[in-house]
Amino acid sequence: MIQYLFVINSKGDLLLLKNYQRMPLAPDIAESFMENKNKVDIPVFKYNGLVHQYIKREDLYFVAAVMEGISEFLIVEFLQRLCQLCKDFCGVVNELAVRQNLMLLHEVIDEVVDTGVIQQTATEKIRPFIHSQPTVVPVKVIDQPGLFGVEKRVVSGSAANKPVILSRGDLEARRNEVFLDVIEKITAQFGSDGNLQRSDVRGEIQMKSFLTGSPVIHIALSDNIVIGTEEQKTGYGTTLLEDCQFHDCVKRSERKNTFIISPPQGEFLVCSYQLSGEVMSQLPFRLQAIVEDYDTTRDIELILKLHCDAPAAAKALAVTVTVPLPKCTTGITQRLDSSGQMAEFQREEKQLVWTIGEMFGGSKFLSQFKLLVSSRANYQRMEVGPIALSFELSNYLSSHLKINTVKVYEGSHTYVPYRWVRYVTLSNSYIFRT
Amino acid sequence: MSAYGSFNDISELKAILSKEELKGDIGQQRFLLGTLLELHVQGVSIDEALAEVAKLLPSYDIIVKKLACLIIQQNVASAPDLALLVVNTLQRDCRDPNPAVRALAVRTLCSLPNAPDVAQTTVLAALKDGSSYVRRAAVVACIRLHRSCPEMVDNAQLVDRVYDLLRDNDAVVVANAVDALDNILREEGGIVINRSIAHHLLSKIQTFTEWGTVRVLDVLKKYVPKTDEEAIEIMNMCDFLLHHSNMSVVIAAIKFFQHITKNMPQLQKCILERAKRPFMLILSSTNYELLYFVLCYIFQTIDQCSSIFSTKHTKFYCRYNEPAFIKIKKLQLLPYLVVEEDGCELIEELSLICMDVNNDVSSAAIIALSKVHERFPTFHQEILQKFTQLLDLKNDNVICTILTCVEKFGGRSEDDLDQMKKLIEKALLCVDLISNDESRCALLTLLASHGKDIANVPYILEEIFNTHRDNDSFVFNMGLLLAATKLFLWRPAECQDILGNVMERCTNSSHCEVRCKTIFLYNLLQVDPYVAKAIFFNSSEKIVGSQCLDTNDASQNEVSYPEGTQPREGDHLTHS
Repeated sequence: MIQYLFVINSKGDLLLLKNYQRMPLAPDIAESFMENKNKVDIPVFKYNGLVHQYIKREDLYFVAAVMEGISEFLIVEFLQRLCQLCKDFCGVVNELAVRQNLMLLHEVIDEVVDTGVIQQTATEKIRPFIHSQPTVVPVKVIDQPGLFGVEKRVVSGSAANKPVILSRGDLEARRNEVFLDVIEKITAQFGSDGNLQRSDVRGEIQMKSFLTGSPVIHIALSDNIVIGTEEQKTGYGTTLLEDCQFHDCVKRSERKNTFIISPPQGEFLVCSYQLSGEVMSQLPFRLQAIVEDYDTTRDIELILKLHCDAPAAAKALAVTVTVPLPKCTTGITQRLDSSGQMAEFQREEKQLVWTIGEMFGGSKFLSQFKLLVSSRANYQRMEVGPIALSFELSNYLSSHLKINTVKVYEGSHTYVPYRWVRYVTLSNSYIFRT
Repeated sequence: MSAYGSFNDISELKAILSKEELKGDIGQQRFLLGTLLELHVQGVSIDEALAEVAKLLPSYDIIVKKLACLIIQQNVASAPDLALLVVNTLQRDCRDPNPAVRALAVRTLCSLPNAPDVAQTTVLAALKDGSSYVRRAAVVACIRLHRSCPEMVDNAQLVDRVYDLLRDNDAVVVANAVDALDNILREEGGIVINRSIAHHLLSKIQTFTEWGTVRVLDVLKKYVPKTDEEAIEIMNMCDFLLHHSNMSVVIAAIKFFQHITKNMPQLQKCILERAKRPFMLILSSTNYELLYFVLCYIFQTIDQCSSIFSTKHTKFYCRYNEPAFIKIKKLQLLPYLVVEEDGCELIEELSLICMDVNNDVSSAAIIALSKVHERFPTFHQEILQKFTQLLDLKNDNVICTILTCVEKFGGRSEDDLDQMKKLIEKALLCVDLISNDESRCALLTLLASHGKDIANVPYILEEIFNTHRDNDSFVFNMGLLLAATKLFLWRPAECQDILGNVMERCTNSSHCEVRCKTIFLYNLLQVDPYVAKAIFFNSSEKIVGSQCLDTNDASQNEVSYPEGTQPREGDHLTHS
């Protein structure tokens, strides 16, 4: 039983509050939460006799307070689902969206939680009871990297950030579209000799459908994919998707690698998987770091070479290389080989951040730096590194998975829907040891 | 920033609300009610405007109704007369053709504090309503009613009716009924689960929502199956729950299965193995809060989990961009998940994390390395080597943590002693950087245990003594005393001076135990130094936090003094 729920921003301003207790709440509820949160670093803590749990998404905290004895998994999954519902109804989840859509969110939460008891959280079950109209918050285009759709048609990334529940005005103007995102996150660690020590790729296929009626969607994956368990053997050129978990509404059809989906409303996860097999060694980026310290001069030289091994159609935006530096470093001088790059020495964190604006597949970049240290005696070679790489690479997947066909069957309506497919590879923790 | 402009004066709002023109303007009504709600959230008292809100309740617009009901529910505690204004409207709404309006009215009626009879009759009627949406609200309203007037609900009629609803067609009604009964009957131990109810709930287990399933499984733990076959049949029926995409369902299912297989311990581990897949998926997700709880769960059940996850221990390695609380939890867990063959790999990985910028994370990594040492003593050399390298970082937090950990390592072979010597020598080079007393005490203990091989130890001890003349902490002085005594027994000629200085300092300490110990040791050495040597070097001596434990033999000679009668400097004790 939830005692109370609230949403606050990172500064501690209370945006939304739902109290399920009999007595009114103290007015400083947000401040006491922030105070207690800063004392401990974990997402659950107890004060005022109640257990408080929170999740942090973007710059918002979703907080629930419960009596002791309630499963902490229940609350954290519920908060995650609540956040997802806000996204379905408002398009995005940030402070402005919450403030503009307060009444809508009150209605949604009232449908979902009654007197602290969780009722229903499926978007299509709740939708008939919601009468407020969403106010769509404009999303800054700068934050959204440009993305490529199928073939030559392009929409910006924010196109998928519309609320699934549209206001009456938008209903007539609605286009029938379905968005499919295949997102893979890579965790990799390379040794100081440049060899891959270990890697792990986790993929997700997400779907967001703005289609009228109740369509049935058939999706066919490319033939180089094998879905199964560890014991199955893979041939050359095939990728094994392990630990596949499908959503309840997905059924496998008799044809190979084809799925039949009856999508629920809102955004949902079609499938999540892990990769294994030979593709693990074909990772998109390689970095070489050379650290030289000559005894004659006082400066230490650092050379970074970054190669992108993806095919030319792939494009990475905002590639960032972060190098921790020794504590005695006072500054850097830099030499970069082309424009569109930037390097910065962050004094407090004692790290070097090299940013490349845009990087196409098959390209490489070189940068040279000299580290100025205050005292040579205190310099330790092992304080340089490990180097972290972060990127968002579109049009490339380590698994070489492709969605070959997306067919929409809808009995009562006749329309040709727009089908947008996006392939993105993200870095989860891409480390090079020095 | 807000959508509702800035009204700060409630009377202003009240004036607008009471205007005639407002009657037809739904948009304006919604706007004003929304403003009131927001002000209430910010802590402004809106009691003045409540009468006007009550007047808006009979509106035809459902949003206005919802907002009005919400405001009433939140404020009825501070304005009891409000209830009288709205009871009639709400009773009429309970017969409205729209089920959403009926449900809303039932909810609101049951939160009014001074209309219990009305509320009771309303709820009884609503429990039989044709629409499942209304029945759901009615069941939950029983909880509200119970909170405000328990006598009304203890009236057996209501409880029986809710028990009947366990057989309802709608899964959410059933789940709500389970929750309501558990709450209302909490004093009597919650809902009663007999065999027929248990089997009924289990047969419907596929129809519940994820939240309902968790609640039902929780409550089903009260049921004990009569035979092992029944337990296995139940598990087969609910097996699909172990692969659910919602982690709370998986965990609830695991706990339930483990409860019903209490008599069959060999199955307990099988259950966890079957649930392995959802765990593995969470390990590579970025939902850090959920991951934290999963890691805590694995830590709690480490005895069963360690063999299941040991082949996949690399999935538990820390990732660069994870928040500190995740890294620390993983570091707590890792030493228990690996088998000996993977020890080297783990040590390499952990030594990398020891250099992390965050102090808590690097301390956790060092402690993890010492736990690896505890489990697999064969890695003694490697770990000591890693620690020695880390001392080069000249980071005070790292040095302190390493010293407190290494103190607990025992001495082994010649090679091991050699490595330990190197570590101590390195530590002595950065002795100024040590910032807390526990670590200084740890260093002193190490010096004492290995002091006979290290040159210059007496002079080092003297230096430490001189630098910290004014340090009166218990831990430090005890450590200094015992170290000086031990070193004196090894190298009497060199350490006689320093022992004298230390003892003189300690007899003036503000801690009575330090003084007692000093006098005792002084007498012991006076009486028979060879006995002292036998005591100190025959069994290991530990300094644990703020307590000093000597060997068993020495404790026989301990004399404890009641408060106020401590001997002063120069006193002599006689042993009996």
